[in-house]
Amino acid sequence: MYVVDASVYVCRIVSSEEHHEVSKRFVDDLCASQHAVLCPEILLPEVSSALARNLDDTALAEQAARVIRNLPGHRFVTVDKQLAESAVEVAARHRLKGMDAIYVALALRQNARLVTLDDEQLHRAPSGIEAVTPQDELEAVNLRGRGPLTSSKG
Amino acid sequence: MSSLARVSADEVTTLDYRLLSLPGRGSEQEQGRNVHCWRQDDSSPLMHSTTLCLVGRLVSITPHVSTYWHMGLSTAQARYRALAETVGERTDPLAELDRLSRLVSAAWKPGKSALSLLLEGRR
Repeated sequence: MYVVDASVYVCRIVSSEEHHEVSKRFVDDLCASQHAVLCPEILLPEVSSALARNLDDTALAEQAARVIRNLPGHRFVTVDKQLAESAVEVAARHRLKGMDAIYVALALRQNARLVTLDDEQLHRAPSGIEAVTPQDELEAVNLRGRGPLTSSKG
Repeated sequence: MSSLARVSADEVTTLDYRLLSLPGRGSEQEQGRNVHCWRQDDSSPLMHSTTLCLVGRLVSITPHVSTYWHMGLSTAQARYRALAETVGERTDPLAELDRLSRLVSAAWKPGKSALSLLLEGRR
């Protein structure tokens, strides 16, 4: 099971991003494999905000959220009291930003791997979870040869 | 919808975005990939006239925009739904993601990267 940060989806969508190709491979393989993906609901406004602030296009930014919400295997989790309280603890102990802490807390709760391109999540996540980049995960899965994310796509 | 000429999602890839984003009133024309798009708005949303001209094929979605508008959708949402219905449902989510990526990437303005904008939002 994965928790995937908004940074990966933003890079998947914008082809000029340095991490676009690897994000594309990761997200596409994830969807094709029907792997379980959990995302906090806040991911959607995060993505639409980042896009809208460059594009100045409301409809397109909203459309991005709709498309992501319907991706195979993805389940969007409400930030309820329990998750918020976990995120408080994570943020306070690991000096993470509030938004980052919500993803980390969700990964902790679900014992899931956190896939992200956010440096602070990668470096400050507690030892209880594995925080990795899409590249790391694709390589690790290929090395392990356990299939669901393997892909021949460039 | 049976009276409508159906067009493929591929034909409308670029057009879709332009249709949604054309600003203001009057008539505008965009060209690209042999696709032309006109939109004429009157002052009332009921008077929307949306016509696609795809390589000489005229496809009007005006009645469907009005239908969705009457159902309570905003003008932009109504137009999107009508267009989506016209081109048929896109059932492949990865193809939809690719289509979205093409639209966003084509419209992306130089400046801060998308990742920077996202991380800024977390400050």
